[in-house]
Parts: sequence; C-alpha cells; structure tokens
Amino acid sequence: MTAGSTLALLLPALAAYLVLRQLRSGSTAPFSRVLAAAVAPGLGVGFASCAYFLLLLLVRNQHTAVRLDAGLWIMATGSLLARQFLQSRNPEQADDGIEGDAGGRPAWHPALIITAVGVLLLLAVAAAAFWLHWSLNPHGEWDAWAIWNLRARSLLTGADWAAPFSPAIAWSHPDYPLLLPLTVARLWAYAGSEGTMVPAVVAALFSLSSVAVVVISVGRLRGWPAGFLSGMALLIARTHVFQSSCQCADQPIGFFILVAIVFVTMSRGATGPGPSC
Amino acid sequence: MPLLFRIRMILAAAFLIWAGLSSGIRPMLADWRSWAASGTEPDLIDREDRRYAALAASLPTEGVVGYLPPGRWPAVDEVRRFYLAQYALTPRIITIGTAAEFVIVVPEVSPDGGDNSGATVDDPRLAGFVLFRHFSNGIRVFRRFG
Repeated sequence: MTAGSTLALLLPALAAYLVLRQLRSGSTAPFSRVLAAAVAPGLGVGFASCAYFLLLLLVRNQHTAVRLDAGLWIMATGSLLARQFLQSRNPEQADDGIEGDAGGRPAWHPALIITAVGVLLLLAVAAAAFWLHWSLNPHGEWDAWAIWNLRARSLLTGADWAAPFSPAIAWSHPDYPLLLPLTVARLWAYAGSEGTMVPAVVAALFSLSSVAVVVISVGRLRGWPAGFLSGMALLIARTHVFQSSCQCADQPIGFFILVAIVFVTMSRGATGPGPSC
Repeated sequence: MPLLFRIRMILAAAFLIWAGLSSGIRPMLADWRSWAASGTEPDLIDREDRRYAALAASLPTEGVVGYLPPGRWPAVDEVRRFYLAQYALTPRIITIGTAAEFVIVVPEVSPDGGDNSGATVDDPRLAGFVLFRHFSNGIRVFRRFG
C-alpha cells in the first residue's frame, strides 16, 4: 500500500463517516460515532467504486478517471469537514456528544472485561491466520485471481475497460458485480502497481468492519458483554477467517447485508424514523 | 446487572474462547508449517506471471489470443494453467483453440519442428500457422499465415 492508495481508501471512508454523523433521524439523535466508524470504511469503498465506475464510463481513460476521482473525494471530504466545522461553531446544531442510544459508556465489570479480552484474543488469532494464509496465497484463492483480481487487472491495464466483460471468458463470470474489482483496480491505479497487498487490505477491511459492526450494534441494543460475545461467535467460525484471506466477494456482500440488517433494526427502534440532513 | 447474568456471560465467553482457539489454531499451524517449508519460493501465480512476462511484450496488447494446452495434463491442472495464462496476459482474451491469429503453445505440447521463426510444425492442430516467437522458457507463439 502506497500513500496514494491509503489516501484513496481513507478519504471515502472519512466522507462516509461525516455523512453518517450529519444524518439525523426523526428523533434528532445523531448517528453513533462508533457505529459510524465501523460502517464508514465499507460504505466508503462502495461509494468510491460506484463513482469510479461512472468516471470510467464518462472519460474511458484510467489516468483521467484517477485524477477526477482524487479531485472528487478531496472536494467531497473537504466540504463535509467544513460543514462539520461550521456546525460545531453553531451551538444550536452542535453535537452534544451524546451517542443517542441506550449503550452509552460501558461500566467495567468482570463479565465485560472477560468478553472484551476474549474478542481481542480471537481477533489476534484471526489476524495471525489471515496473515499466514495471505503469505502462502498472496493472490488469494482460485476464485480471487480467476474472477475478482482478473477483472481488476483488466480494468486497470486495458485501454478498453469493457474488454473483461467479453462472453469469450464466460468462465470468469463477467456478469458478477463490480464492487470488488473496481475497488482493487482503483487502489492499484492510485498505487501505480498491482501489489498483492491491496486486495488483502480490502479483504481485511471488510472482515474487520463486519466484526466491529456486529459487536457495536449488538452492544448498543443488548449491552456490551452481549456485543463482545456476538463478535466472538463470528470469529470462531473458521470459514469467516478463511473467506477473508481468500480475497473473494463473500465478505464484502456479507458486510453489506449485515449493515442493511443493522440499519433496519435501528430504524425500527427509532422514535421518529425518517432521516433528514 | 444481576449476578446470574454475569456468570452466564463469563461461561459463554469461556466456551467461545475455547471453541475459537480449537477451531483456529490447528489450521493456522498447518499454514505455518507450509509457509516455513515454502521458504522464499514464489507462489504458483507469481511463477506463471514471470513465465508469461516476455510473451506479453510480444503479443498484441488487446484482442483474442489462442491457447493450445497439452493433452496429458490432469484436467484440474489444465484448467488452472489456462486460467493462470488468462490472468497473466489480461487484458487480452485467451481462448482454447486455434481460431485466433496468434496461438500460445506451452512447452509441454512439444510439436515436432517449428524451432525457427517462420517455420511450420507437424501438429495438425497448427496447420496454417508459422512460428512467430520461441521463448527461452520453451513457450512458443504461432501466427496464422495467409
């Protein structure tokens, strides 16, 4: 990961975080900071890949698309930061710091400490397993390079970005969604090379975000010990860690389904649902 | 928080930690052993990428390129090698057969003849093709003539 690709990942995440924080439900409760921080990287990746796709459609040139993309995200994040700054100076609209949920700050007790340590321990094991599997398979498992990273390479290197959708390579499923290939191609374009670190970081981001969303959303609804237990229940599944290091699309789609469920659950609990900026 | 609830939480945490460690440690150790055994050797995909690197420079940058696999590779290996050729040579579209203007012939095919540029080979599948490039790693590219 170069500084360019790191920024390309962080700017949309920051923009998504700021948008979430500025959303107010009908009950005027601000979106929780921790949940926004957990959801924002994945949503940022999603928004960035959509924008990049539209830019590629528009200019049909990788280099121009990257420049426009960088400008777009700098402007979007800058304007959202400016709005946040102006709101913080206005006492009527300023965030009072209350998370707007029943979770609040947890009171430390043995059950909470043990569940928190447990989730950290299992996270450490998962991280080590992820790193080892990635070291053995830096290009990911079969589907990762034969479908997702193949499409990303084609999008990055081809003068005609539509070439990878040729029916002649129907075995690589040209009809599959482009979220992952576009994300990897975009970050490779920023990095200037096809490093194996980029798809691995994207996979790790979705995997880690999924665990964080489960812990935080259950923690807010049912208390932090239950949240940590839920995170542990996710991490003990060997397939969760394996699918992360595979660099396939299972983790991203799982993340978005999870976020949709969390948002629906939150809306059902809100006193006056219906977001407004 | 009631005491009974806390005890249940601690027991659940202990069970999940045990389940997580018992399901995660064994495959991790297996990966560790494989990783230690592999040393600094590049993985299969990097090897195939390097194998096709010189070839990529001499092929058209886009379009369809044929690929002639040997008949004696195991089916799974044949599919994997073909997919790896596509991965290494993308954004070209690689198709099995000799319908395209350029055809990649992997060393394992070893058709008789065709050692010099412009030469033909005895393999009936390559009738109408002449050798375009012969690379030091054994890969040959044939081009349709006429």
